[in-house]
Amino acid sequence: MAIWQTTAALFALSLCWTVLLIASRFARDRVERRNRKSKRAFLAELLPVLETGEGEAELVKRWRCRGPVMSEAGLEIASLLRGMERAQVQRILTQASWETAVIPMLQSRKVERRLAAAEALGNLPGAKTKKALIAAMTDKNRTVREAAALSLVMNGHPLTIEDILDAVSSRRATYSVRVSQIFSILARNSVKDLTRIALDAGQDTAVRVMAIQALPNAGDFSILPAIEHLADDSELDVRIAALRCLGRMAHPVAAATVAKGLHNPAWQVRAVAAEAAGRIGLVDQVDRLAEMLGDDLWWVRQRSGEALVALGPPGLNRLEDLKAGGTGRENRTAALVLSERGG
Amino acid sequence: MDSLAGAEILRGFAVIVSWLVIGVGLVQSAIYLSHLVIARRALGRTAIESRAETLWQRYSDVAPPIALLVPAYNEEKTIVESVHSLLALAYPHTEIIVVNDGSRDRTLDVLRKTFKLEPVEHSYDRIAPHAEIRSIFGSPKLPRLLVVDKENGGKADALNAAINMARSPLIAAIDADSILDADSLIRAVRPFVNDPLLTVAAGGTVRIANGCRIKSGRVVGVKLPANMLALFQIIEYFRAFLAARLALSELNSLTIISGAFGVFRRNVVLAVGGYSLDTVGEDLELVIKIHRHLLEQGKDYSIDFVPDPVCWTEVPESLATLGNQRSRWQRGALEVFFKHIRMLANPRYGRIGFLGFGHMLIIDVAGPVVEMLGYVLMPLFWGLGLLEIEYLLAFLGLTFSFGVFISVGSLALEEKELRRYQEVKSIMILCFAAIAENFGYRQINNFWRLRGWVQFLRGKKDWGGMVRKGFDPVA
Repeated sequence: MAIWQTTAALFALSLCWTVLLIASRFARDRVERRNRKSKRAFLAELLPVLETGEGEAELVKRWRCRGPVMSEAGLEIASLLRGMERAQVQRILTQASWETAVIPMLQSRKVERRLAAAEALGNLPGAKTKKALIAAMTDKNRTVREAAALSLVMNGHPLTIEDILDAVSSRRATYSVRVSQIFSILARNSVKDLTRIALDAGQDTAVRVMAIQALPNAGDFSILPAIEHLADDSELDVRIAALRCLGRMAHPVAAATVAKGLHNPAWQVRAVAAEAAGRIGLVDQVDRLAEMLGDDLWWVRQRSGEALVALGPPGLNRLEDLKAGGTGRENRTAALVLSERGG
Repeated sequence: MDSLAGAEILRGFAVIVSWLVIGVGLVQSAIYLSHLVIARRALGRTAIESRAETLWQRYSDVAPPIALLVPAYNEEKTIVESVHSLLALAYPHTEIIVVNDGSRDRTLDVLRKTFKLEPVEHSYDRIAPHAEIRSIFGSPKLPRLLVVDKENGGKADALNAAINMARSPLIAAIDADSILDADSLIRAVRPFVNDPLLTVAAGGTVRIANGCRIKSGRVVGVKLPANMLALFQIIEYFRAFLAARLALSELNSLTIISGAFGVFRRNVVLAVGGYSLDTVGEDLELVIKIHRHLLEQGKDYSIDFVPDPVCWTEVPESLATLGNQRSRWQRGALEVFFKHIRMLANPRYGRIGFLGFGHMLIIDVAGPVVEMLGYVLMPLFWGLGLLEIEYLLAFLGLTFSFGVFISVGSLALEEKELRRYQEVKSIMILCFAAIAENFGYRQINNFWRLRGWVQFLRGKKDWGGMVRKGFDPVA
C-alpha cells in the first residue's frame, strides 16, 4: 500500500509541476511582453532627446514613476554608448533618481540582479550609491562583493587593499581576475601599499602576485629596486610575476636582474626573463638568448626566439645565422621563429 | 520433499534478486533526487546573465586566450560553415586549430580553397602522442586559423595534435559538426576568470539542434524536433546536464566534461599526456586522468560545470544509430571505470573516489544491468508464482512514477533559469515528452546500454558508424 501511495503521490506531484510550469510560463511571457513594450516606448522617446539634446526634463518627468523599466532600459543603452552620449544617458537617469530603482536590486534573491546592480552603480558616484556599495561588499556571493568593490574604486572611493581582501576572500580563493583589475586601478594611488603587500613574505602568494602584476600601472619607476628584489624571492610564482613586471616596465635599470633570470634553473623563470629581455631590448644578451634556442623546454625556446625578434637587427641577424648554420635544435628553432614571422 | 526444498530455494533466490533490484533502484532514485535538489540550489546561486553585451563588458578585457580544437574526419559538407561560425564567435582572443584526421573526402581541399591556405611552418612541442603530421596550413589573412593535415588516428589522436599546436593557455575541444552559441565561450570562461588559480576545466551544456533553425552556422530559432526519439533525447540531455552534471560540479565531483564542448587549461591536459588513444570514452577519461593526477600531487583544483554556455549538436533520429551511440557511450564508461578502478572508494582520491566513482558504479556500471534484470526477472518470478502480482505492479508503478518525476524536475530546472525554448507550445510538448519517455524509450535505452556491457566484455574497440542527417540551413 505504501508503495502505491508513493507512486500516486509522485504522479500527482509531477502532474501539478507540469501544470505549474506551463501556467508560470504564460504569466512570465505576459510580464516580459509588457516590459519589452515599455522599454521600446522609453527608448523611442530617449533617442530623439539624445540626438537633439532637448527635452531631458520632460522625459524624466514622464518616466520617473516607472523607475525599474527606465533604469533597465537606460542601463542597457548606456552600456552600448561611450563618451558624451553615455554621460547624457547617465545624467537623465540621475535626474530621475535612477539609483533609487537600482539600489533595491542589491537585495534581490537573484545573484544576477545583485551583480548587475553592483556593476551599474559604478557609473554613478554619490553618497547613496557609496553606502549601498559598501553594504554590498558583504554580499554572500563573492562575484557581487568584487563588483561592488570595483564600482567603489571606479567611483573614486578610497578603499584600502585590506578592505578589498577582506571583502573578496572566500573559502575557496582570494584571487580572481576581477580583483587583479581592482588592484590595477588602485595602483595609481596606492603604490606604497601594493609594494608593501608584494614584499610581505607572510602574505598569501596569490595576493602578492596580484600586487606585483598591478604595480606597472602605477608608472612609478622608484619601485624598481623592490621588484628586482622580488625576482629573487623563494616563491616561484613571485619570481615569475616580478620578472614579468620588469618586462612590462621595460626600464633598462633592470637589465642585470633580467640577465640573471635567463640562467635561472626554473624553466618558467627563464621563459619570462627571455620575454622581458626582448621587451627591455637587452642586445647584450643576444648570445645567451641564442643559446636558449636549444633549451630543453619548448616555451623557453619559443620565448627566446621571440625575444631575439623583438631585439631588432642584432637578434634577427643571429637568427638568420643560426638558420643557415646547421641542423641542431637551436638552428631548427631559429628557422621556425623566422618562418612564423614570414621570414 | 526435494521438490519442496527446491521451490523454497527458488523462492529465496527470487526474494534476494527482487530486493537487490529494489535496493539498487532506491539508491539510484535517491541519487537522481539529490541531483535535482543540489542542481536547483546551484542554479539559484549562479549568476546567469541573459544579455551577451553585459557579458562582453564584464569579461572581454580579462578573458584569457582560448584555442578551439576542431578534429575533422570526412566533414567536407560542414567544415567550412563550422570554421566560419567559430571565426565569428564573440570572444576577444581565439586561435582555431582544425585537424584533418586523414579524411577520405575533400575536407582538406575545401578548407584550403575557401580560406586560401598555404603550407606554413609552425613551431610546436610534441608532448601528447598522435599520428604523423603531413603538413600545416595557414593564411596571412586569417592568422587565427591553423589547419593541420595528419594521418588518420581517431578523434583523440587529432585532438592531441591540436593541443600540441595550441599556444593559448586554455583549450576547447569542439566537434566539427556542432554549433556553438556566439556567446558560449565568454560564458564558459567565467570560472577561469573568477578562480584562475583553481579552475582547470569547465564544461558547458550540450543541447539538441534537431528541429532548430540554423543560418550561417548559427542557431537562429530554438525549435523542437518532429522526431520523437530526438524529443526524448532533449529530456535526457536536461537530466544529464542541468541536473546530474550541475549537481556533481556543485559537490566537486564532476567526472565528465562532454567531448562536444569543454574548456581546459592546456598545461594540465599536457601534464596528463593529453587524450588517451585506447578508449572510446576519451572525454570521460581525460577528466578522470586530470582528477587522478592532481589528487596524487595533492593540489587544490576545481573542475566546474557552467550551465549557460550552449553547444548545439545533432542527435540520431533512428533507433539503429542511437542504439550504436548509446552502446558505445556505455562501453566507454566501462572502459574508463575499470581502467581507473583503484580510485573507487580509495581515500587517496577523496570525493572523486567516493562520490564520483560511486556515482559511476551505481548509475553507469550497475544501473542498466539491474534495471534490465528487474524488467526481465520480476515478470518471470510472477509467472513462476514466486512473486505476487501486487508487488510486481507496485514495482513497475514506482519505477515509472519516479522516472516521470525526475524528468519533469529536470525540465523545471531548464524553465526556471535558462528558458531556451521560447514558445509555450514547446514547453507543453516537452512536458508530454518528459512523461512519455518513461514508457518504452527508457527501457530500450537500457537494453542498448546492456549491449554496451556485452561489447565491453567482448573487448570491442571500434567507434561504429554515426549517420548524420546534417543541419537544415535557413535560406
